[in-house]
Formats: sequence, structure tokens, C-alpha cells
Amino acid sequence: MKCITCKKEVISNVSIKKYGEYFCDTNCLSKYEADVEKLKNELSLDDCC
Amino acid sequence: MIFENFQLADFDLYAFISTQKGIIVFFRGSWCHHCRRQLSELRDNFSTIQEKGYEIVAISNDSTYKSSLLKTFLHLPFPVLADEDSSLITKLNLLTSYHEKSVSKPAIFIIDENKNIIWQHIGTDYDDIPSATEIMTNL
Repeated sequence: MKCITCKKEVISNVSIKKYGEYFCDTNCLSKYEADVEKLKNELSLDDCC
Repeated sequence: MIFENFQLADFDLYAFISTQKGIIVFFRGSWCHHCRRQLSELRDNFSTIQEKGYEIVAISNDSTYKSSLLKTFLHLPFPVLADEDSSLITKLNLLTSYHEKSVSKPAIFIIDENKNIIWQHIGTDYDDIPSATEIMTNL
């Protein structure tokens, strides 16, 4: 299994499973959650102009 | 069968439609507001769609990471797959350009239990996207 954020192989006894994905550690999980929040501000050009 | 032998990441699309009726949704990308609205409508009607015996899979040429972010962001209860090299999108003649990006045209394929396409809609423009209600009338 690979971490969805950094793509490294996860170590099963220290990995985190959340949102149906595996994460190496809390840093990768935090980055993922921050990127989910960023999607709120990502709009296509035909939506914004 | 146009979806034969297509595996996206670890998801076998042909096995998916071999075992159940399916709705395959092609969308432009996680950034597309119209696509987000359609996927959210399908999410809100997912239990009704399942009661009719259908499962849903959504596909774009976003990265695996972006696809996962969108699934989490919209709380989608169905798989969001990444056709990162656009191989399936190209095979289906859905590849188009949008502001110098290559993206999939918005498209819907409804597949019956015999793996036949019983209804399809290929969008002619970015906002030519059928609502969940229109999709459900064809199930």
C-alpha cells in the first residue's frame, strides 16, 4: 500500500487509514486535508469569469 | 465492448460492469464546477440509484491524488478513478482541450447487466451535462 500523499510505501503498524486512503503519518494526512480545503477555491475559468 | 480490458490503478472497469449494472461518468476535472454539481447530485441520489441495481464510477484524467481529494471533498460514496494518461478517454473519443489542457468531454454511459450501453450522453460543451434526474429516468 502506498501513501496517497507522498506515494511512499506505508509501514502498516504506523500508517493511518482515513477517507478510504492510507497515509504515512500525520504530516501526510494534514497535507491531504489542507489540499481538500483548497479545492473549495479552485474553480474553472467559465465559472469565475 | 468498449470498456473491455481497462484497468485504472487497481480498479478493473471491465470486472465492474461484468458483475453489475453501472453508470460510468466522465468529467472534466476536480476544478470543474458543473462536474462537481453533477457528481453531488448523483451522491444525493445514490441510494435510489443502488435500489435500481446500479453502481456508479466517475472518471477524469486528473491525477490519482486529485481524484481522491475530490472524492473526499464531495463525500462521494462511489469510486473516482484517474485515467492519468487519458488512455480510456482517448479510446472513447472523449478527449478535448480546454484552455490548453487536455480533458475529457463530460459524458455518461449507462450499462445494463449484459454489458450493453443502454443510454449515453456525450456533452458538446462544458455545461452540456445531464442532471441526476435525467440520468435516473434512463435507468
